Amino acid sequence: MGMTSVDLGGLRVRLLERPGARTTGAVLLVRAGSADDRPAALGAAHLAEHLRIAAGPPGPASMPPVRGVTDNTTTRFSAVSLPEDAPALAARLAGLLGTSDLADTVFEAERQAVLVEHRQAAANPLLALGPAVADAALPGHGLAATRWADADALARLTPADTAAFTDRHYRRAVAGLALTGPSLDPDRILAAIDAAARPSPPAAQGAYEAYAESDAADAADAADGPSEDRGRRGGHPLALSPELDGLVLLSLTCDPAATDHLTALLGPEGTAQAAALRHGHPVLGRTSLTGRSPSGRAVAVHVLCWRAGADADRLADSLAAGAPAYRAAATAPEALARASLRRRQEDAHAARTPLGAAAALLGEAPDGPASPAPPVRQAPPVPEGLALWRVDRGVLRRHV
Amino acid sequence: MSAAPDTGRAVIVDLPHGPADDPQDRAGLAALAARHLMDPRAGGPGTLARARVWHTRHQLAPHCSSFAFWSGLDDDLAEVGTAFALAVPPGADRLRELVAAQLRLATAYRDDPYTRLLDLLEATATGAPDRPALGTEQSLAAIGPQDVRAYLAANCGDRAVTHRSAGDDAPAPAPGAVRQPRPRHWRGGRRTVPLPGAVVRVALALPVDPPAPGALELAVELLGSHGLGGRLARALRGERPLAYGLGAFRLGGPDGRGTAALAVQAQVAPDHAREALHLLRETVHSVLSGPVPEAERRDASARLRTALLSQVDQPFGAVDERRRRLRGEPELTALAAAVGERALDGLLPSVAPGLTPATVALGAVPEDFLESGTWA
Repeated sequence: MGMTSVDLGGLRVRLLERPGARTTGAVLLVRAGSADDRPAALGAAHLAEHLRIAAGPPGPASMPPVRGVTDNTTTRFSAVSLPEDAPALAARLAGLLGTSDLADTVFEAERQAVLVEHRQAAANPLLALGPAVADAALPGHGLAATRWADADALARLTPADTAAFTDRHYRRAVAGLALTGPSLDPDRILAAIDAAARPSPPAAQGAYEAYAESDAADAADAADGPSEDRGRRGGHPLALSPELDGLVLLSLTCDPAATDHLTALLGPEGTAQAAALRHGHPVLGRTSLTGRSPSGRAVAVHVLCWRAGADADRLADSLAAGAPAYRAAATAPEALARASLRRRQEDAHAARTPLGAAAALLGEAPDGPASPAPPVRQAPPVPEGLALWRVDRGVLRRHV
Repeated sequence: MSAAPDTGRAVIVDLPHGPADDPQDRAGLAALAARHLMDPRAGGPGTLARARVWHTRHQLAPHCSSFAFWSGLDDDLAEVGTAFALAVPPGADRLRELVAAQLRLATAYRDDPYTRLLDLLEATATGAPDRPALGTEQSLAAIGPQDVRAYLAANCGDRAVTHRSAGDDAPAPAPGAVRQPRPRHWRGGRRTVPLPGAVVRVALALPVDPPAPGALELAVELLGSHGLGGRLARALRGERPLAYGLGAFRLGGPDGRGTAALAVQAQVAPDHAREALHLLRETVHSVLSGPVPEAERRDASARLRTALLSQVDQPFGAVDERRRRLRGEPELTALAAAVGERALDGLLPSVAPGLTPATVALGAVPEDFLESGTWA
């Protein structure tokens, strides 16, 4: 018999037993993120994630805290428990698919927590620049959505904004829940989930329609604005610190699925990193951003970053001129075999813990339907390609 | 329901020379030798791990340099034991590279405010701090290729001890000959290190009598090991929203040698530092003086047991447990069981009489900040 995979009123639930494990891991994936923020309520997705944990249905005090991460297109919650608490753990996460009363003090405390996170991200070169580069490489796909909200936008958010986001997006039909652990009791766990997760009642449909109308109005407003507005929804440009000057970045636009070719090109032993290392520049970091086209197609932009300082022009020139060679080298059979080995080791390592195995059950690109997409806007087709970028006097420029 | 395969195997190789064994004027030698051994160019275990794309980990203990290797594939990890003897000692140029990289890491550690706070607390609690495990610019400059060569010759042969994860057929090494660090005598006291900035870090460590197994760990969790779900968060985040970050921890080795202490720390604005210290003190005493309701003990116990057993579920978890057993150290599974017993019998640590607590402050406060006031 395969893995237990059940549709609970639209919620995709997957259970996998791991007899040797000492704990149970669980992940709830909501297929909506910052790219689903309304222009008038930037930051709502991230704040909603915090609020669902802080003000959501209380779990047993015996359970470790739930952790949440909001990216451009998904929001992920995770937690672990003792094996005997697996049904309570499942209910705790499933209960996040819902709404609850919110104290003003909780809302303000979590707003401050989000602000702190944003400041920390702005101070990290890769977290600050990765989204900006990805968005510049492929505009109109929400690739910098996690950075759209600045302090002013967060200050404008109201409990009604986050409640509207939750009401629209925290639904069974766009979520998945996975558990891995020893001695799972599917009947008890599924019953606990079904009791805890909010059904999609007809009443909620009204709120959804109202929300969609708001989106249509936002879209009409945006259509009147300049086309360059794609990377700065709500009129808030992405600010780059002058301290980021001297950074060189490489972006690669492609489909989201990780491939051996991608690893051979951009991975730790990849040909692109090797090309920069020959100039004495080890990579500063790598990040991958996912986004969504107006038609709902998933896209990804992978970004490598080097701190080259005064050598930035020379490094960027070399990486640009050498691109055909190191791209070709990444297709060599030996490079692909090596990349395959690395990918298999990484996959095995990531899935070694119950929590990692639960995340792997849901996968990076869930096969369920996406959250309702924002109103369709014209966007360019997805170009597959590599580009080089520099930060010069606080401005991100494409290196030609 | 089908079962997920329990993939992966791991090996740990312990070399019997740690930072406490470094010559007085060559602090950082053990760390430098480890850096060389894991260098893919050295022809040793780092070369093998790179070729097989193994996950690796290195840890330093006072008398041990411990290397761990993990593979999710059907590799023969046993090879790694012999790879240590194959490492070619570094030449002068390679050694300069290694020293430069180690100095960068040492500087990063030294500049980290949390690490500085812990070092300050440890030094105040027990007297002079250990020599820095990564060495200093001066001590690393004194290390020559011949020192690394001698280290490799002395430690990478028969004296290396290999631990394999459960399930492998290889014979386990005989227990014993595991040197433990000398017990550190408690001194206590107060120290303030003024630093510019908007955040002050304050910490307090109260020495406790040798408690029953799991009791000190349970007390830490009752306070909140990560600042969440415990009494510290209620006192310094809920009732008085003072702390940006906080947490409780155990000061003193897990082997129970020397005086153990219950320690807490918080990051606050300078104007709140004095009030935060008082609240930290009161909150710690509220647990040590007891009684703590059984329901609260049970909840803390479940959180802590989950955290401990989650470590056993990590890729190196099984081999770490086997290593602890063979070295005579408490296994995490046994500690988790003991914590469960303490939740039931309510045995918690008590303040050690006659010993002075350690209290420290790091940040924008005057040098005499701790001179007045009752801190413990």
